[in-house]
Amino acid sequence: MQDITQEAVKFIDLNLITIAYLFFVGFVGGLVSGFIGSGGAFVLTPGMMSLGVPALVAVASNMCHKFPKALVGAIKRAKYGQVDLKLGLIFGVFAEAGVLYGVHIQESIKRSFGDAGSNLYVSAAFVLVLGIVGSFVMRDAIKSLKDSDGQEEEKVPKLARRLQTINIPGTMVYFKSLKAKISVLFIIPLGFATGMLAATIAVGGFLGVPGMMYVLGAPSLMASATELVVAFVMGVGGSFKYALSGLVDIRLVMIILAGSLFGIQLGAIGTTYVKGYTIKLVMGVIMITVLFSRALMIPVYLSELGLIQTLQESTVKWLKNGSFAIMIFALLLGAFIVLRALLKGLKAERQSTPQAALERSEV
Amino acid sequence: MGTSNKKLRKGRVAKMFGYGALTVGFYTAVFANQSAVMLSFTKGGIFAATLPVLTAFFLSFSHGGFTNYFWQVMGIEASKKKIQRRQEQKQQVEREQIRPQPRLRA
Repeated sequence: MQDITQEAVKFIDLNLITIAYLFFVGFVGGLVSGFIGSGGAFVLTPGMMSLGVPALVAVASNMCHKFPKALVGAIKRAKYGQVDLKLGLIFGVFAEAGVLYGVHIQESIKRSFGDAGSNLYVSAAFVLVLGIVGSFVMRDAIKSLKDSDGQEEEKVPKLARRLQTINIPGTMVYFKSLKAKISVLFIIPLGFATGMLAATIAVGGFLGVPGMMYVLGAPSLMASATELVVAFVMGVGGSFKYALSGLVDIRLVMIILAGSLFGIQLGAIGTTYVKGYTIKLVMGVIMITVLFSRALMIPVYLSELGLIQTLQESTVKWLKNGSFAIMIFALLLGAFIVLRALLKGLKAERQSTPQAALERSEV
Repeated sequence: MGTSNKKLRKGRVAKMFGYGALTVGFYTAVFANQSAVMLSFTKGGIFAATLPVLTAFFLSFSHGGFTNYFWQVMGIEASKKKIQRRQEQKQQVEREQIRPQPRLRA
């Protein structure tokens, strides 16, 4: 690790355009994370690398900006009664173990197959997980949208109901988000897989939030809020690990945080104006769009590994740019839905309480 | 009602400026001395590793406080209806839980 560190620590010079770019991406990422509990950070690593930041420094700085952001978001959403702290902490501990194992796997693949092999593994994980989980979340979001009819409570999925009835002595814990007891043994694989995914694609929440919703039975608002606690636990450990090797560029962290803390507050406020299916919708839309972005890159890595015919340089460039553009589009699309829902909710509330609006205008 | 709202708003504006000043001061200090900061933060080892982590914690407090009051001052706040409804539900659950048991006294 020390050799890699020496090689990687070539920190970039900052200028106004770089700062504005990082601030903006941080803001949009924060907005999405505040709303769905995760998903804002996946653009930041490639975004920083496109500015010339070495890969390891980008990953480390991204990780170090995530935990304070998650902390602020979790505190905000706890005030709205959406956080299950106990579930978040237990989930987070196993997720941390998953992160460590995920990093180990990444390093082994890199040693055996080089950068192209490692990139192919990351893209394949993206496509597989987002393809399966993303389409499931999207399908459920559309179904919930049709079935909602103004209902506040979400139905507990069949699988979750079944797991909640299984009594394994000595492992049963009551969680307020589930309003039921469930065995910790069911949380272990979920937390571990979330951590592994976080170490692989930088967004563990794409598995953590659906896992809490469909396997454990937490409502989507609480699952997305609790994921912020998980992200905090994972982030502190991960940041310290990278900082031990001197890989965190604190200037990048501070600039991204400057934007993302504005965003996360807004995203968290947005959750008080929507029903559960909006969370699922934003998550599903982002997951499916990112899936296309990563799928575009698979031929590039297969070509680099010599598994398919070598691609022309112009084709590789086109695919790389296209992939990055779709990724940014995914984030902007998610942010658009969040902002639209927030503004619509604010407007509706102001109209429904004319007295409150009058008082607001007085002050 | 109007006076209490004015007081509340004044308090929020004051807090926003307080947290804002703290944040701006911190950012200025780091970026004005970025060479020295980068040198000490990227040394590696346990002591140097705590520096970026502690900085991030401090920012979550100062900048987090600033952004919280910033949106409040801008009039963008959580839905009062939903929060009120959740609090009512919570109180109802708590009331059910602490219902006293009847006891016989000799």
